[in-house]
Amino acid sequence: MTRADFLAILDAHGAPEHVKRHCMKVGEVAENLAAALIKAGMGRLDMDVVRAAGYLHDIARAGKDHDLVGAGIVGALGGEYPADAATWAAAADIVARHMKLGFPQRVEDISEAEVVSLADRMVKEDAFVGYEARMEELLRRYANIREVADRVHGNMGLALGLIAQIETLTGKTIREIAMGGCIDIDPLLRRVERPGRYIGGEINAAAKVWADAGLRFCFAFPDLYEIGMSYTGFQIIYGLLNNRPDSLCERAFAPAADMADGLSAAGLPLFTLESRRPVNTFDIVGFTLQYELCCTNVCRMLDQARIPLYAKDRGESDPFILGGGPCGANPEPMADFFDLFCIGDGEGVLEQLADLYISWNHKRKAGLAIREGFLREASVIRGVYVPSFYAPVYTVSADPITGCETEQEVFSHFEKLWDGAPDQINRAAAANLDEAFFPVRPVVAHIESVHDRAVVEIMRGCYRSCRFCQASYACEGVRRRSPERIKELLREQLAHTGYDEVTLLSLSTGDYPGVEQLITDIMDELAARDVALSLPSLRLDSLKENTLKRIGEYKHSSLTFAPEAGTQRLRDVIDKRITEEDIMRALEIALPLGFTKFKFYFMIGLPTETMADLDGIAELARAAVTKAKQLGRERGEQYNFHLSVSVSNFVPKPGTPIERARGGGEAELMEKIMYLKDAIRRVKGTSFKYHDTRMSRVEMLLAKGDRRAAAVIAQAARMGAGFDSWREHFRYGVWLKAFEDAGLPAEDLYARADGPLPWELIGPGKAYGSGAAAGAESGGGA
Amino acid sequence: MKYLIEFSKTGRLIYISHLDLARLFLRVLRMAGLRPDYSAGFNPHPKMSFALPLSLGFHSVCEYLEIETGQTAAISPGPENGKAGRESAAPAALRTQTPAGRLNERLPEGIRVTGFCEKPVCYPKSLASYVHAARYEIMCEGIDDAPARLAAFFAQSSITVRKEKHKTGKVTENDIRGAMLDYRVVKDLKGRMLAEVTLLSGGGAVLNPLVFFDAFCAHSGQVREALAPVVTRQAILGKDGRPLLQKPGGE
Repeated sequence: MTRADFLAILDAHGAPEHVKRHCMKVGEVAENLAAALIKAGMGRLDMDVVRAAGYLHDIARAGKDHDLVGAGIVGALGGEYPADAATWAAAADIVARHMKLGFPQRVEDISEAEVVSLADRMVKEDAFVGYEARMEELLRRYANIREVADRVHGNMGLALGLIAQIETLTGKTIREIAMGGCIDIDPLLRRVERPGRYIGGEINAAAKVWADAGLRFCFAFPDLYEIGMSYTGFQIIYGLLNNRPDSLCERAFAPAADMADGLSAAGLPLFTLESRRPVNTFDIVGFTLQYELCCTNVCRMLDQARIPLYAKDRGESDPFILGGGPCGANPEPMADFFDLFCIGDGEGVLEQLADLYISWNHKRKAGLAIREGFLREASVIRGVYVPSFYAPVYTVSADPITGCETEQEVFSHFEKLWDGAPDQINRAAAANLDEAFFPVRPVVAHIESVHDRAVVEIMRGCYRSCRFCQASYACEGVRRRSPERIKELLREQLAHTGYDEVTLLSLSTGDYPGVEQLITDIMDELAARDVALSLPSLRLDSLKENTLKRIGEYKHSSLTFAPEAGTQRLRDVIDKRITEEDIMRALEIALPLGFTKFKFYFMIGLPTETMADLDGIAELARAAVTKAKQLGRERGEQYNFHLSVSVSNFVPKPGTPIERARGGGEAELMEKIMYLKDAIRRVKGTSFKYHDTRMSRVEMLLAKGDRRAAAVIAQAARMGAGFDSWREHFRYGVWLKAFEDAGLPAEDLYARADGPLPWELIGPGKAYGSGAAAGAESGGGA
Repeated sequence: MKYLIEFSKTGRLIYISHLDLARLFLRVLRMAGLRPDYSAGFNPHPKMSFALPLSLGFHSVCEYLEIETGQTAAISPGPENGKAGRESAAPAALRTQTPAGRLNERLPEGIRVTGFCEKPVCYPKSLASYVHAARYEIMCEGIDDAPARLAAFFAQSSITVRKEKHKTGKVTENDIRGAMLDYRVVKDLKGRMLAEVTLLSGGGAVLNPLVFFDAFCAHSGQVREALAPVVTRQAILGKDGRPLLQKPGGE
């Protein structure tokens, strides 16, 4: 019998809504109470009887003599479930007596009936309030009914004595026992905005049994629910771990300000959506680090979860904090906060970590210290990095121009603190995507998330080798999923989610070999199901006419180009292989097919950039507009052409061939943006978008930081920084102050032609077609 | 064919909004082989609508959703190799279970389909156009003498409520007395209010039970912030004052 079964029985007997809610709560508290007592040695308590009596005790409360009528109903259930006849009879007996039951003196004499009765007397409606509060309320309500008052007073002493004994026996407070380790956030849900962010229970959400799991993993996303739920990596990790019978994975997201304040005011810790358990009761908490500016949210979440911020301060009872994601290309700025990182693809590493943890778990349960031993064994798994085994050594730097020593210390090398730790951290890689786990039952977000659709990753890595791009270099080359497997995954996802839109995920879908056939096949199949294929940010340069025609048949979404630089010279410098002719030719094909909205992406602040390159951006935009007009004239049509020019700021990223380049200063970048904005404004039919240069600046400082950056991040978080990737929350002043307080210059210390780099432990990736490109070229930056 | 789905919304799921609920139902209907038809036109939308939107945070035991679908083969359980043949959009597994059962199997805990039927011919227009009022149970701890206070509140001939517009800050005044149709004290309990109120909910005039409750608190001198009312919609009523779909005998 599950909770849902009991609910169905209550339903079938016409219990009103508030009675059902009360019964479910009392059942839950009684179950938790019985579980705690059984665990403490009272094995003779029959859990089935407690559950049946608890969940159904007020089944007849809507009418008169509800105890006796209810007992009749529960007793009769024996007819429907004959195998459990004895259970139903015992439960019926409890229901009949539950109003007038007294309590024994000693906890040893407690029976199923008293467990249920005690639970009932600690629950008001559907909330646990405790025995005293509940009895006070009863006395207030029935003050003039002597019989009630006498009974309450008569029982009070015995009940409180019993509760005290239970607390001693189990070593927990009665509230902790009643909540079964979960926290009560219902009062907060009524007050916060978009409470759907915090309730869990979505389609395909896991509901695994806490007690059965050898590994309890909390997936933590350092941003809001609706952002994290759109992240495919989460769906992979969540599905992979919950597919294992020996593990469970639950979720925690960064709470918005109103929920964070509410939790803190109520004295409650950060919780998981599934079971509402405190995050610090999990074995491993895995954070994904998708972008540098999420780092303050990691600090906040650890604080909200009451987990020590620094790995060195954590003890045997704290969870292991695991990090992963793109920021793993340089884990150093966050290294002090993490016990271990997963560098590269997570699937295989997580499986191995789960096996390893489960093999250590019995020792932890036996009260033995496992932290050091577990981390040592973990550190030899390919792709695992345990920062505490390496201590960075700093040295004074030489001025790049004069060669004189300066006062500023920079990273020199690592000293190994445990000899067994590997000399280099090699990326973990899923060699074959067809064999790698991919979810067919992704969790469907309750509230509108950034991307509400079925997603299948078709390719990992990138065929391009743009020199600024981590995705090309800090990655294990290109791996594809076969068209058959892609279609199979799509079909299954649609059957298990009900989505009406699907998308194909990769860094450059147009580069997938045979993409034309794949898109055509998928579209044929989807049309019959009323499902749309969306291909956002389709890079035009790689698509052929037939495919465009096919896409244009049903939806004219905007088409995107990423020339990145305004002149061919600069495009050659960054190895961005798009020419102006490519763009013009694509316009010639796309415009007559009905595509009229275009996006051009550019970067400013690239190495060797001059004003001519900025002018080139405006000229390219003008050329596109002119081309559209000319095409219209030739074909006698008036195209409703619109071009959106989007400019981002170059941030040199670790692991790329130009990792040593100097990123632009925020004032200098702002000047360039203003110059461009003015130039683009003169081109009719365009709009202009740009990024906050101060945010880019902080992103760069964090991306290229060494291990000392942790102090800056921690200080910024202490001063209230959080949600820094949200423009409305980003506070530049706080960051500058945090650098000052930490005694570090707010400068890129590693924009130099040679010398060791703080992320040297992380091995190079394998960019497609360039051999050991990343390693060989890394000295050649600007 | 048009169908009516009767369902309840309780538990954690009371915290999803009307729009989120619509999205959820659309997905579950598609999964269960009951995909609603789509309207023609530039922006096709699924042909499904709720009788009366339910505000976030309220429980309900009487919600109605109407859908129009051509996937009728999936409605009546039939033989697996029956006449439907290859044309049937519903997989065999879907045809062996009732529509309500299939929906409940896929709906998250908190939303439960309690009825599924063809839309009665006596409702040719959208169900929403027949809604006149709704009955809510309001339960609230911390209110003494609820019966007397409710009686006094209802005895007024006019009750003015001020409403500030969210964005513009413009204040409008509204008399809600006419929209307060009826009330009943379910149980007279010390320190607690357990009452049912019937509020106008059709013809463009909808009185939200929390607006009613705020006004009630203001009138009875209760500190609204200290109270946490639990609202459950009990019935959606037609012009005859009876719950929709519960037809008077003889029809």
